[in-house]
Amino acid sequence: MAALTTGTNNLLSQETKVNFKKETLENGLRVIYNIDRTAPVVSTILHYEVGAKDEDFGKTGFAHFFEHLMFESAGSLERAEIPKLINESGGTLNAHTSFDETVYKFKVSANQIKLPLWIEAQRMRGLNVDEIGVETQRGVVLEEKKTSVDNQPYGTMLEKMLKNLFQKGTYSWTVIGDANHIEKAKIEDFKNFYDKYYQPKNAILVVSGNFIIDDVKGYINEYFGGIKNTIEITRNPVKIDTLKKEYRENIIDDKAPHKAVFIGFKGANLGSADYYALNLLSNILASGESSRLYKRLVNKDEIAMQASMFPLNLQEDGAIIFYGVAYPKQDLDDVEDAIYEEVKKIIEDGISDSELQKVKNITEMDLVNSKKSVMQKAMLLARYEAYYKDPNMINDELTNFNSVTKEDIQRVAKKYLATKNRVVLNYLPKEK
Amino acid sequence: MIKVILAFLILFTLKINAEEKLDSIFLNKPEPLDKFDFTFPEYKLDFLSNGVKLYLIHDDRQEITNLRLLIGGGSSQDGKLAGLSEITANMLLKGTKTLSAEQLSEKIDFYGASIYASSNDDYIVLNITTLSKYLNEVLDLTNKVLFEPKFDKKELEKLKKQYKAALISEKSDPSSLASKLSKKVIYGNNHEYSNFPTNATIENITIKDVEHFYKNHLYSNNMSLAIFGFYNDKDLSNIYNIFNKFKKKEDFALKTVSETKSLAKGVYFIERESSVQSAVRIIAKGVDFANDEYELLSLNSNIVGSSFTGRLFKILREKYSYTYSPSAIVTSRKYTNYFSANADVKAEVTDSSITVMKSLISTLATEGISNEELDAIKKYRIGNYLMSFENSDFTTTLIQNGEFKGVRAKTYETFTTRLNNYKQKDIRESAAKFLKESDLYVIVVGPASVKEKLKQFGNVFEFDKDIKPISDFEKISLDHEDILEKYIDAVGGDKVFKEIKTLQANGNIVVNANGQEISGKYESYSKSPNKKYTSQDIAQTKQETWINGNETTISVSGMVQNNKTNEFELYDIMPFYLFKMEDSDLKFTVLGKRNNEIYLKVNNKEEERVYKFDAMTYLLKSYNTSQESPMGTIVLDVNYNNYKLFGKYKLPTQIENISSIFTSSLVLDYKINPELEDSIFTPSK
Repeated sequence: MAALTTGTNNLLSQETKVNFKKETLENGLRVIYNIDRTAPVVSTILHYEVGAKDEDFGKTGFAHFFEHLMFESAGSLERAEIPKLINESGGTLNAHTSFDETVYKFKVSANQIKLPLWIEAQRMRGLNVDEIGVETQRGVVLEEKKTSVDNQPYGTMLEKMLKNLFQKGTYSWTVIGDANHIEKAKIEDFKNFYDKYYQPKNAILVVSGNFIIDDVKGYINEYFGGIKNTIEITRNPVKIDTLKKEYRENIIDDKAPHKAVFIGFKGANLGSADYYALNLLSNILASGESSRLYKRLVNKDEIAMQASMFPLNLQEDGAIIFYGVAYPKQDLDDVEDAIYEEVKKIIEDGISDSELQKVKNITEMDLVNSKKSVMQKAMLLARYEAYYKDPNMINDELTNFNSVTKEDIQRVAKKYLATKNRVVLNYLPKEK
Repeated sequence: MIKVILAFLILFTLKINAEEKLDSIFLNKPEPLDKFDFTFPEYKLDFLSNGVKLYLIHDDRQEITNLRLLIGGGSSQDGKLAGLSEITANMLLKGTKTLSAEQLSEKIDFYGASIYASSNDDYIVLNITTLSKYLNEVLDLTNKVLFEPKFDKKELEKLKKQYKAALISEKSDPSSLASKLSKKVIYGNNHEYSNFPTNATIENITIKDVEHFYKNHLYSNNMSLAIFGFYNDKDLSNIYNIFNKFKKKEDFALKTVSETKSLAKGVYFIERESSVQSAVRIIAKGVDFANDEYELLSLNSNIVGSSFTGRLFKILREKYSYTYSPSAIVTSRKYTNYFSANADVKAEVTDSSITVMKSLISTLATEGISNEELDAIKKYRIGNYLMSFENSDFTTTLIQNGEFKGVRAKTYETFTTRLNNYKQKDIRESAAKFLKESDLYVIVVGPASVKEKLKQFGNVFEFDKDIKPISDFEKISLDHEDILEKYIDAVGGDKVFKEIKTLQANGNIVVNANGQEISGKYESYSKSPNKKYTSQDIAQTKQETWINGNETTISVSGMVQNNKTNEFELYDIMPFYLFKMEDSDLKFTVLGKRNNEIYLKVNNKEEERVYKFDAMTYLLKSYNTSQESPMGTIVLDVNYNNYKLFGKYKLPTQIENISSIFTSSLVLDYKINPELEDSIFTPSK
């Protein structure tokens, strides 16, 4: 019997508010339902709480590898049958992996709701980790790395940034991992990883869209209720290294069209006290043409064709990464210095009331835009459950942003950015 | 005891029953529930009194209001000033009569809104999105943007600078290069759809040109407006008041797009140095967007490259692992579209990939398609189409763009019925008309090492990154001795070279092979006339070579091999080698000048090398050669970069070796005439 732990009323509301029901099956699988009758569409999200951070130092890229392997054979499903069944039902499928999560996504017409649930249940514990699947996906993943990293301008940036910013700690390698590790991994290694992390108690299932809730509850109990957990999940201890000095490297990049500087600072982890202020700070510095970096580097000084920054929001740690792409013939040092000057102005002088209101409005727009489709809503509900243990954050998170003050922003700017303990990567195009 | 056993048995039986039940659940895929009736989303077509066509879709799920203004006249109307339509669109947001560019962006951002202008081949689009509570304020800004643009010269110059930098960026992006080359091949030269901006065309655009383009396109009978999302009657009234201000121009018509004159059939190639993949496109000319045959050709592209169901995914990715994300599309311009199957493949299987891709496409015409495959694709296509209506922006864009291109909105309401009615023979007839083997062009953007193998697919036409054909070599008046003499002068001169008695090079080496990157240390010591030591220490594997006269010793991680060699000379260290070439019996052919490089071909009995010199500085830039290996012939490109002065002598501080199976990159520092003991050149006992 499932335990209903939280819930809200009026599931059929057309208000902006996202209504949902959450229950936990006896095997620990958390299930969230969100009704949206706008279109005859249903999305299912199966969010596994496993990401690159859960890998071993010498076996990186495993979490992402499963993003591929999970479309191979499982239970009664043969190779290539999962995409075939979903596509033939008119649906779409996809998956993504990050540092903290691996997420499987289906979107089908509402009358096909049983199909994705039936598939997900089979591959939750019944994946056939066999040679043909592993070898095929090994080749595909290595090509993916070439496409997204090796063949791209500045393609090595994230790898170098993480390695030096997080040093030997959690998050010090990329999600796609080291090709060498994937090449050398044995089937047994993959099986062990699967057995450890692909269990009902480590997963969140969200169904969002046009369905009858009691019917779908029945399907979920039928398909998932009998799945047993296998072993205890002992995660690698989180290791947070403090950056004690500046790391600086010049990289000759034969694919880079322009000189570019990337500057990384340590940041705040997801949902922490400083997280909201840091995210608003990033909007002040980098959102739109009225942002401080754009106004200074692109518009006023005309030294960079792009200047921006983004926070890397992670479950246990965080980073803030600035970048500036210099105009040809422009000294890259000028770009770097201008970024520091703009940061310094906020540290010393703070921000205006109007600037604070602006970034709160931008954030409100972003949050509203992030809930436009059933799949977006399903993904958000899963993430809020995974990281905050509170899916209702989908409705409440704006309040947290709105409670940030000017002083908070100045404080976090000072706390995280008033330091020379940073990683500076200068990318220089190969001279032609 | 019996009770205990009984309890055990009951438990055991329950367990078996549960497991059996569990297995049986998964034996057969679940049947779908009753179908939901699909009704095409409600939309309203209307006209403002000045003739602006309106599309209205009310969607109150989120309190966001969107406006999408489509203005006829994209880059196909640029004429000689390629880039003008896009720059004009962007200049709308670079200040108004009362607000500077910065003030304008400050106000738009303040409301969390966005006003975004873009341009494609056929039209300009202005997208306005705002939280509904700020609609009036954002409408006020929209009014200023559309009717009071400042067109400030300083802002234009800034924008031009950004565009020119972006043109450089495009040249490093294989997808952009492949897309541009595809357009050039299908539309031919001097066609509006293959009229790409260049530095010169961007530079030539003036404020007057921008004003002229603005004044000659923003007519009420050359635009449509979509309003979707959350709005009420009062909001509509406010919106109408603004857009009703556009004037109508009688007899207005966009310039007609020319007939296409596709280039000769064959393989079109752009070299992308050090690329580890090839961007492959198999393309074929299609029809106008509103042509009845467009839909079937599009369905053919779904068969080839749609999602996980397409042939490319199933074969090229899941069978061979040649690629990560293949796809196929038919472009969606107003006139003369083309089919394009796309895959970024590992460089060493470029030719195999082309063979597979061409076969998967052309068999649609020769062998047709099974009913099962067609049925699967139709279900996928229809399902996706219906699900996309979840978002009102999809419906809006579909109808508004479609009507601009000559397809009536009503047509989209019956799309699924038409698609369901297509039969195997329809697919085959369409493929026979457009996708026969002889209709296909091959486009490749990849490393030089793949070029030779492309010849099996037809004539290879090489283009540069400006999408200009690499013409025959321009004749030059220099012979090979002149070139070598200029090279010698460029690096320091004959006299300076002869003063070099010893040379030391130290640096870092990075080797990439099989997706792995390994770093290490490199060092080299040379002493005239016949001594050299090199060491490469990579990933705990140290390779050392000692050359002393005609004695050579090689040690790889302690494994030692001794050889007799020809007398070694300092000349043998590239790039000094060219000095030696001047005095040798090698056969030289001056090929000429191309892309600011002078090409010199050098043959001996064993091999052919082509050397490229910078036409301005005469420094050696690269050479290519081929080497035999256990894996067959490997084409090797060696590049010399970043020359720096060491004493009076210029040396390359970056040296790259690029082949289809590995790349290595050396970053070096040199010392000229350091003191070197002779003992360095003999391995220690």
